[in-house]
Formats: sequence, C-alpha cells, structure tokens
Amino acid sequence: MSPGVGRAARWWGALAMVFCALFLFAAAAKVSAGLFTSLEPLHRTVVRLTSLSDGGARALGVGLGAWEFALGLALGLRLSPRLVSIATAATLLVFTVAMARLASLEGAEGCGCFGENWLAGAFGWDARQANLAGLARNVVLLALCVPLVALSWRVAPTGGAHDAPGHDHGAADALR
Amino acid sequence: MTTKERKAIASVGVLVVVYGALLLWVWPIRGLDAWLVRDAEANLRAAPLGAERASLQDDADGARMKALWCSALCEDELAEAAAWHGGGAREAVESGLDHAWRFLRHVSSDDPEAYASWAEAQGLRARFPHPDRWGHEHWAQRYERLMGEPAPPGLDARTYALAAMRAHNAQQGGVMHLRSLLLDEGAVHVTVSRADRRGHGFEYKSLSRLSGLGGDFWYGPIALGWHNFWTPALGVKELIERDGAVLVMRVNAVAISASGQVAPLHMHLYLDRRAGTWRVSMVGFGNIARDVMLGVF
Repeated sequence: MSPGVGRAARWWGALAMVFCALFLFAAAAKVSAGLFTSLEPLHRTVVRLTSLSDGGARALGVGLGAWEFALGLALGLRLSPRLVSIATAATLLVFTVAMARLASLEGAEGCGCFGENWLAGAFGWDARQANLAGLARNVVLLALCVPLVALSWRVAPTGGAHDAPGHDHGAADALR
Repeated sequence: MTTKERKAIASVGVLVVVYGALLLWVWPIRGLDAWLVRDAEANLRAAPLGAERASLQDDADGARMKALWCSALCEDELAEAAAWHGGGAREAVESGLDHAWRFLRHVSSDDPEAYASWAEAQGLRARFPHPDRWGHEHWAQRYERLMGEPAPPGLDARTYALAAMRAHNAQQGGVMHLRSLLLDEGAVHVTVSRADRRGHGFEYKSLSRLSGLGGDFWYGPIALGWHNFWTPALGVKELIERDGAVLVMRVNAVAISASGQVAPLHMHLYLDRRAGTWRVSMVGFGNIARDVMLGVF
C-alpha cells in the first residue's frame, strides 16, 4: 500500500466515523423519542412534506429510520466504502432538499430530525429558525460528503480491476 | 466478496430488521403516539359491547336510557341535591337527565341546523369561545382548513359552528358522529354535586372509585373536549356569582359512533335555578386515540 492511499484511507475512515455517529444518533433518537417522549411531530412533518396518508407516512418514516441505521452500521463497519459513500451523499442531498422545503412552508413544525430541536430549546428559536438551522447543518454535511466520496474512490477501487492480477489490495485491506 | 464481508452484511441486515421492527412498534399510529393508542384501545376493551344500544334518534330508546340513568342515581347523590335544592330534588335531577338526552339527540342529528334551532329556542346564542384567547383570525384560519376555501368576510360564530359540525360528523367515516348509547347499568354513571367559588363540584367524585368500569376506561391516556359555541347569557361562573352556588351534574354513558368507535362520554350540566333550566357546560370523551377534529355544541 502506498503512503498516499493509506492516508486517504485514514481520512475516509475519520469522515465515515463522523457520519456513522450522526446516522446512528439519528436512528437511536427516533426510537428513544417513540419510547420516552413523542414521535408525533416527526410523523406530522413526514405527512406535511409528502402529503402521504397516515399509513404511507408511517411506512416512509420507519423506512427512513431503518435506512439511517443501515448507513450508520455500514459506515462504522466500513462495508463497501464507495457504495456507502455515494449512498450517504445521496441521502443527505434528499434530506437537504426536504429540509429546504420544510423551512419554506408556512406554519411548518420544527423537523427535529437530527437534534436541532435541542438547540432550538437552548437558543429560544421558533420552528422556522430551527428548520433553517437544520438546513445549514445539512449543507455543511453535504459539503463533507464531497471528500467522503472522493476519498472512497481512491481507497476502495472496486470492479474488475480490484481482483485483477497485480492489483494492490492494500487499500481495501486497510478498510477491513 | 469475502466470507467476512458476507457475514458482516448479513449481521447488518439482521440488525436493521430488528431496528425497523422496533421503530415500527413505536412509530405513531393514526398520527398519535403508539403507546397512547395501544393503552386507549386496551382500556376500551372493557366496554360491554354485547349490551343493547339506545339509538340517539329514537325517543322510545331515550326513555329507556333516561330510566337507566335514573336507576344509577344513588340516594347519596339525591341527598346532595336535596340539601341544595330542597324539595323536588329528584324531579330536578330527572329533568336534568331528560335535558341530557334531548341535548344528545339534537347534537347528534344529521342536520346541524336542527341542533342550532333547538339550542336557540332555549335562549342560547352562537358565540366564538374564549374570545380573550382566540381572535377572529384564529377561527377564519380554522374555517379555511376545515372547508378548503377562505372564510367568508365577517365570518360569524353560527356559520363557523355549523360548518364545523358538518365536518366533524363527516370526518373519518363518521368516527365521532354519535349514533347510540350502550344500555348497560355498568356503562352509565350519574353524579350530582354543587359548584361554588371553591371548585366545579366533582373534585371528590372520582369515576375510578364510583364506576364499575373504572377510571382507566372513562379517562385513559387521552381526552378531548368539544368547543361550546351556543351559550346562554349567564354561564356557570356568572350563576355562582349571582347565587353563591349552582347544582351541577355529571352524566356518563358509553357512546358508539357511526363508524363503530366506542367513546366514553362525559357531560357536565348545571341548573339555572331561577330560569328552571338545565344547560350543558362540557362534553368530553376519554380514550379517543385518533387525531380527530373537536366537536362543537
């Protein structure tokens, strides 16, 4: 393994750990809210954003939570780095678009999707301000996805070349 | 893909399925927190659904329901009424039960105008509730949400209330449009008390202790109350100011809606002694684990 590839793997690993922690925290916070406080605001947000029926919003909400959990685990276990990096970026892009729409809706509740309601409580923000804070956070995370995806390309080559004779498996090994 | 990778992916798959099942278990049902819905539904299973039902539009059934309520009145309750009302306490209380039935009959009518006419014939007038808390704009916004069109200029309380009653009766397949009451002696309760400046009179009349079905059935984790639009010139507070105390009554029954929803019903009534008329001051339901719009009376 060349030193450059090893360094890329370490940087990718560090970024992956940040996203892993965020997604696992978001997934755990949903279950925690359902058990100890309330998931009603999040359910209403899903309904408001998608205009889905109650059952549809329930299915989508549970699916999103499970998706976050799966991404968090995959990032933490460093499974298929390239694929997981792209999935992370795509997920954050969708979340950012959804948050932008939520922030633009009149009378929308605070999303509370990723802990920004705690900040809102601390700073006395209203729902719109909390959603704008969530949007800003998502933009920052989306920007961090650029090096995440780029580094995954350098450290985890996949496809035919990966198994070709003479190919350097060091980077992939470093990720296991 | 190596065996190690396959094992890791399989482990992630199992964990995600377990997590998804847990999240599905706690995710809101019908817009309300799942634990609350499960608690309320478990509480409602105590309802004696095998009992006969009194149709709210059938006066013969009404006579049976009133007889059942009267039989639920114990001597202690009548003694309390007599201490305040003097002679004719039983008649006064029975006229209150008659009023409770007639109220339910009209408020559950398919035509809200029938209820409005009945209420107005008794001197009640439609007014927006809590004008100190909610201004005209609040009701105009609610009207727009209900009807899907902007409120007419100068929206008045009567127009709003009639529209709200229609929307309330039609929502979710008539889930809160009351149709009948259970004719079962365990499913009714009547309490008489005295409201004065110290309180509403029911502080020591807990349904947990007094009713066979217990407090969990009547109250449970969630309750909703209707908005009172048609009100008299003098409410309970004004009568207490005028008379010092007011004879009040709490009437409970188990209502069944058009969609079959079981609804533990609470009504509070009070007697305007000088006018000789009973008024309904509160209508509420326990254990309604649905995201429903509130009724209007």
